[in-house]
Amino acid sequence: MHLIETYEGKTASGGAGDTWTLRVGDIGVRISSGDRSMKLHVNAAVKGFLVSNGAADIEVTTAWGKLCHPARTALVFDSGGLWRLSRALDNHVFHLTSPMYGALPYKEATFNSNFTRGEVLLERSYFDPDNPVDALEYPLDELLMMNLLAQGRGVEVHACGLEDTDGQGYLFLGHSGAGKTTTARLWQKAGGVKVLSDDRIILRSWAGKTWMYGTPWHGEAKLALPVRTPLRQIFFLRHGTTNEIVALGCGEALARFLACSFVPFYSRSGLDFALAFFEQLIDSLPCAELRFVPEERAIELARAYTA
Amino acid sequence: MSENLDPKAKVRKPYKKPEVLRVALRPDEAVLGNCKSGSAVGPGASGNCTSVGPCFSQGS
Repeated sequence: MHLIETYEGKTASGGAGDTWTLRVGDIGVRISSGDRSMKLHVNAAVKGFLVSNGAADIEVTTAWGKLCHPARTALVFDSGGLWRLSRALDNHVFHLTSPMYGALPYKEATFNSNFTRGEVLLERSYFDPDNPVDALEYPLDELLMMNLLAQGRGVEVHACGLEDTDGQGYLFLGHSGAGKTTTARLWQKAGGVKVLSDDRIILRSWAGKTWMYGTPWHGEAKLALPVRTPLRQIFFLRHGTTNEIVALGCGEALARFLACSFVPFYSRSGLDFALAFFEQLIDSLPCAELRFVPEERAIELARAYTA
Repeated sequence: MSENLDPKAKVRKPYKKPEVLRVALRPDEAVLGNCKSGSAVGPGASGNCTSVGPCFSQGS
């Protein structure tokens, strides 16, 4: 396991306000407050991914703003939920809304074409100015990471990832309810296993290997480690009545990867990259479906299949 | 020089590009359009639904 450098506390304040650097999947995101009165805050899981120094792939500033309803003419994608993406010149503009506050966005995030610079405006009337703010709060942090990865860096998948006692990296993919958190808890109980995440894993390929990275976007077990480990075995999860492993064909594995990934579906280049990434992955590592019941025998079966 | 025509020689299967016919997407999960794991988002939310009432658009 490779521990990525982390920083326990808050990064130094300087200039206009607070500055933090977040490092997930070996990608650095620096967020700075442009207003001395604005104090930044991150949740406990993200705090584990803050670093004290190192290069940032993107610099983001944040400030208070007076937001208005976004024009629909430049709409690129509507999530049908918390966010919409529009285009303004070459910039990507995300508007975030909450069911609590109606259609007026509480946050507007603008990024340049290649996601190296960004600005996050917070609608002041929605926030208590005495409280610190989480400018990159979910889903913006994960949307940003998804777009950064799509530029040839890697892919985030809906999966539990863990490092076994012998250093082997296992990836267990599945939709909600497939058994990711159950699997994480089961293996953790077996002892000596490090769970990188029980819900979101970043995959990147370099130095002839594919690496799994933990992320702050954990599942119910709240397991999120800022570490990476080489990937050895890929399982697609399914609850079963017995424990069994069924090998998958390339086409089926590719379709399942795509179904369990977080990719910018509105970006042709992003989708092309993800497909090529998964195709290479399927060609180099074994993929199978693991039908399991939550008992130690499932671990033994997975280990025996991988050996 | 002659080629190695030993039929026992291990030959890697020719690569066949995979074809995807159907993807079982769950759109609400795939596009990060909903709250995650019972957390609320936005101003006033503290990462716990109890602080802001029920989460209206929960996903994973």
